[in-house]
This record gives sequence, C-alpha cells and structure tokens, in this order.
Amino acid sequence: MYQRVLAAVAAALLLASCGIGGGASGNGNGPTVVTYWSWISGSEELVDRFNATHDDVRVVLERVPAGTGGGYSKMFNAVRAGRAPDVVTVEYPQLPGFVTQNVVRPLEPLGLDELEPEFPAWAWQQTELGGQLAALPLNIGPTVLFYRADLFEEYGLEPPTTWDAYRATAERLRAEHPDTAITNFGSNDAALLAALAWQAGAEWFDTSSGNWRVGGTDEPTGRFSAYWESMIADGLVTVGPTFEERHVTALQEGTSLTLIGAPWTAANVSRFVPELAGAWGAVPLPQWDAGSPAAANYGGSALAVPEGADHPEAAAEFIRWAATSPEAVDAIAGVNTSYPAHLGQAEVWGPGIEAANPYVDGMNLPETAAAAAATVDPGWEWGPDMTVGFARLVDETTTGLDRPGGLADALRRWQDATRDQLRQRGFDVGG
Amino acid sequence: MALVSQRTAGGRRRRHSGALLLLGPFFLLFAFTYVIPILYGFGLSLFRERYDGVGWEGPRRVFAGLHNYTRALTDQEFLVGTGRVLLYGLIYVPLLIALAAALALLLDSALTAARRFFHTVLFLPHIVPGLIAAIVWVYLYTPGLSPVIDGLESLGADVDLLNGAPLLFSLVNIAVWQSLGFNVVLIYVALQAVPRATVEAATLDGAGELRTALGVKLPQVFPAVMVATLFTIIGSLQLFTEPQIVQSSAESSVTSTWTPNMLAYSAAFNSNDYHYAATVSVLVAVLAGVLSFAVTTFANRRSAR
Repeated sequence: MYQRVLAAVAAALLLASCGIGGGASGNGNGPTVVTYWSWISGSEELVDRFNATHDDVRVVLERVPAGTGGGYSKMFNAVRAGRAPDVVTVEYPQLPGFVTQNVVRPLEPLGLDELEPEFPAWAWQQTELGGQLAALPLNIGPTVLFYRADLFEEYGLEPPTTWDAYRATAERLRAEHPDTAITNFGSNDAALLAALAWQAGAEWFDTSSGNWRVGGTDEPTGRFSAYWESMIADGLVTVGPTFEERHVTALQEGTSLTLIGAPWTAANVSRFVPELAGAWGAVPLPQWDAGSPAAANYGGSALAVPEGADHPEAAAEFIRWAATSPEAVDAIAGVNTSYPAHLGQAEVWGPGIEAANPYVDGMNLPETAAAAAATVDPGWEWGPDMTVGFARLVDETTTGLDRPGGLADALRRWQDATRDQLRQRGFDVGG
Repeated sequence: MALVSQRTAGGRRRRHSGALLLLGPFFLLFAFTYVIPILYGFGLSLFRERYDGVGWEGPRRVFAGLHNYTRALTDQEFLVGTGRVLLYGLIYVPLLIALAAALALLLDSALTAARRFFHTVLFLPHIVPGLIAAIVWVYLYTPGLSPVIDGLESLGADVDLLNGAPLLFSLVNIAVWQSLGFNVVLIYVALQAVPRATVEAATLDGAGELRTALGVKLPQVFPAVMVATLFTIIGSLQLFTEPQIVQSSAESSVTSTWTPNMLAYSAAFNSNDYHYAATVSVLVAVLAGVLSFAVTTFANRRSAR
C-alpha cells in the first residue's frame, strides 16, 4: 500500500519536473519560444523560414480556425484566461474590437512605430487606433478586377474601366451570350460589399467626433447600392454565395466572366479552377469617376501582440521580420498571393510571385495591385464589433436584393440595427 | 426504551451516511456542471460593459441590475426567435410523439423477425451526429446541388425549401428523421413492461389489434410518452444545429440570430458579450422550466385520475 502511494508521489514529481523542464527551455540558454496563432495559408512556410534564419527566437505556429469562424473567439478567451499566445493574426475590420476589448497591447513600447514611413499611409491608419499602434500591417487587399482575358478576346470585349462601361459590357454579354453573366454578386460576402461602398467613397463608421457614428445611407452608399440593385434586377449578374458549388461551376463553364477581388483572390481562384491557368487578366476595379481613380481595401491582415503575451520583445522581432523583410515575401509566394503592406516588400513581391506561382504569371497582377494600393481612400474606418456587423450584413442582404431599393433598404436596416446593438453593448453612439 | 431509540438513531445515521456516500459523486458533479454554471451565468447577466467615448481605453464592467433582461425582452431578435422556436415546437413535438408512439405500437405487434430489422433501421439516424445529418439534409435542400430539387424542377415544380413557409417544415423534417428512432425505442421499451395478461384479456374480450393498442397498451405507457414529450419540448427550445447549418449555407433567410440559442451564441462568440449571452440563456432556461412544469403537472393530473 505505502509502496504504491510512494510510487504515485514519485510519478507526480516526475511529471511536475518535466513540466518545469519544458517551460525553462523558453528563457534559458536556448532560443525564446514565441507562439503564433494564425489560419492564413502560408503561415507554415513563413514560420519555417524565420526559424531557419534565426537562432535567438523560435516561432511555434498553432493553427486556429479562421477568425470569424472561431479563431477570434479563441483569442479573446485565451487573453481572458491568461493563456495568451505571443503573436496573433487579426484582420483590419476586427482590429477596433480587439483594441476596445483590451485584447492587444500597443506596439510603440516594442519600437515598431518607427516603421511608419515604410507603409502606405492608409494602411497605417487602419492599425493606428486611438493614437496607438495596435498591430503591424502584414498584407493588404487593394481591389482589382479579374477577368477572363481569353473569353473577352474571343467575344471582342475590352475590360471596362468605369462602372458604366462595366454595365454596358454586361448588357452586351447578355444579348450575345444569354447563358453568360459578367459576374456573380456574392451574397455571403459582407467584406466585399463594404469594399464596394468604400471604393465609392462611403464611410460607414466615423470616430472623429469622439464617439461612434454609423452610416449606411450616405450618398456613395446609395450610388453603389442603386447600381447593383439594377444590375441584379435586370438579370445582368447572378446572385449567390462566392466560391460555392454553383459559382465554381459557372467559373469552370466560362459563364461567369469577372471576379471582383484583391491579389489574394488569385490563390483562391487557382485552387477552385486550376484548369483556367493563363486564362485570367487583372485590371483596376471599374471607376465611378475615371478622372480620379479610387480603390478600396478588401481583406488582408495584420500581426498583433496580445495582452499578457509572455515574450513581447521576441514577438516583435518576428512581426518586424514577417512584415518588412523580402525573405518573408519569398517564403510564402508559392502558396499565398496576398499583396504585402510594406512598401519595400511590395517592390520585390511582383517578380517573386510571378516566378513562384505560374497561375498568376501573365495576369498583370503586380502592376494592377500596385496602382490600386496607391489609390485606396484613407478615410474608411471599421466599427468596434465587426464580426457581428458582417454577420448582420449577410443576414440583411441574403434575400430581397432584386427589388428596387432592396440593397439600400438592407443597408439602412443594417445601420439602424448596428447603432442599436452598439448602444446596448455599452458604446457611446452618436447620430 | 432509551436503548432502543438510541440504536435506531445510530442505524439511521449509518444509513444516511451510506446514502450520502452513494449520492455524493452525483451531487458533486451536479453542482459543478449544473448548479454552479447556472449561478455563474445568472451572476454574469446582472452586469454589463460600459465604454467611454470611442472606447479605445477598454470597457468598465458595471452592475446592470435588470438592464440585460429588459434589453432581451424588448429585443426583436430575441422575441421573434422565441416565437419561432415555439411555433417550431408546436409542429415538431406532436408530430414526433405521434409518429414515435404509432411506430412503437406497430413494432410491438409485429413479427419478431421484422421487429429486429425495423428497430435497427429506425435507430440508425440517431447514431449519425446531428451536425452531419444537418449538413446532408441542407445539401438535399439546396437548389443546384440536390438531386431531389433538380428532379422536382425538371417536373416543373419550383420549390424553395430553405425560405418562406417550407423552411420550418424542412427543419422539422431533419429533427424528426434524427430523433424518431430514439423516441420509438423509449416507448417500445415501456411497452415491453405492459403485462401480457392484460393484452391477452383484451384479446379474449374481442378487442382487435388497433383497439388493444390504443385502449390497453397506450394508456399504460403514458409516462414514457410524457418523458419523450418533455425531452422533445426542451430540445426544440434549444434549436441550434440545424438552423446554424442552414444559415451558413448562405442560401436561406435564416439569420445568425434566428433562434434564442443562436442569439446567445452570436452574443458570446461573435460579440464577446458574455453578459447578454448569459441573459438570453437564463431566459431560455426559465422558459424550458415553465413548459416542463406545465407538462409534468398535466401528466400527474392525468395519471392521478
């Protein structure tokens, strides 16, 4: 009996010492271990390259579900429970939520604010919230239009440069090739809807008056929603979830000719329709005013250090490397076609991506993306609860878009419900 | 006299400690997984977060009194969602229980060989995880994917099972498919306890199979039918998996806050608003409690008669 107890105690001690031993390797003589939570494709390659070139810090990647699919919730809970990782991936729309919930720590004390001149001003503005740098932009999603260059040529069409020309092209397609639509209007993609509003010059959130203002009814929003309502009502586009079976089938059959996206979209397209390599071209998104080209940001992500991270300095070293070094761009070029936020990285990205990813080669994506990245409207802000904001937007826009005023009504309902929800949530909400 | 009473008191004490020892683990688990979380949830529901200005400084947690409850009871999403699950239950519960009772009675009177087979067939869907079942059904409901819908469309019928009035029935169909077998077994097992003598007596008195089933067997398994009803009512109040899958298919008018449980989920995991999520959960629990009480009162009154 006593022997058995003794054995149990010994086993427990042994386990405990193993635990201590495991923890000690992080701050002893070996490299500092940094845990990185991400779901972005190419994260493995990124981390492997960092570890291969650094001796002082070793990054351990932990795959989490995509942010709005549970990843963000996991991060919030980890911080709350005092088990935060050292680095997390955050998308721009959710960053204000991370800041208002005190989930990330400012990056100024870690010296990352000195990098400001190396990033586009609008991208920096997306991550500098309330006067503090909440995250470092990693990649961005300047809007571009992907089009089937082969079929455009076959049908004698030119890629449209304005939204009016885009509609005229759609009408001609409908008349000459009745089975073919110019695009699929994504009914499950709130971020794309926001990007289209952003490009038109809308501002859905505004904190300049010291509290939250929510607007889904300004003139640019009305202009863009009226445009798409009539495109849908006149049957010029299909409506349905993006990259779900029906959309993919239409892409495969060549009955959906353009895709509104960003550089990262190319990797998705290559995964869904690999057989269309070489068929695509990329041009700037059609313009409202051809005289003053405008783009929006659609997607992309930044790197942040959570509150309670064990090794913030080492985390900052990894973040600085990932978001500024040409090596980091090279590491992921084969699997991820995201456009880097960093100006220096962006310069090496073009030739690198075309060499590493044959699908992208010949699309003219680098020039198009660079032009778009330089013309993103810097005035856009995101709200403090965008996971709910996007879910609500999808809820409102899934049905009823084919009526006149359908999209505008949905956006008005979204605006009113968002104001109400933020007020109930405890935020100071103005008009 | 004194000696005797002392002895019995000692015996009682021993018996009490024995009962405590046996029941202890249950109450311990019950407290940790049930009572404490409910109390914690109730505590959470009495607080809320407040932000100053834009809120970059982070939230302050303040006592909210009943604010969260008035918020929920004036929240269109909560009220409409509660109405939805009640309507859903109104269709689902009677349908499921009637079907389950009918099938159990059929099984009870069927040939032994067939009994085994139908038992297995009916119970199989229950083994499929609810999530998987919902995904398969949503596939069957989605136009452009579903062979069923395509077949109907080629016959000229334009059906949309994921929107409008058919939606609720589509969800009921998934749930019935999933839980019919379990409830059949529940009632069937109770039927095995019905004394064969009473059944034989009824047969001798000239009652047919149908008459015996409805007049003799069914009243004797009433408690089992009530238990099945109770479980089903509580289950329908907690409706979550099926509409959540339908919602994520993005082909339907189901919103992310379509039922109270989806609203609580969204508040907790999309908005990190645990206070409101707890409030909604407490209200759902209260509603389930009220309905359970009503059902058991009805059942007791009936069996007392």
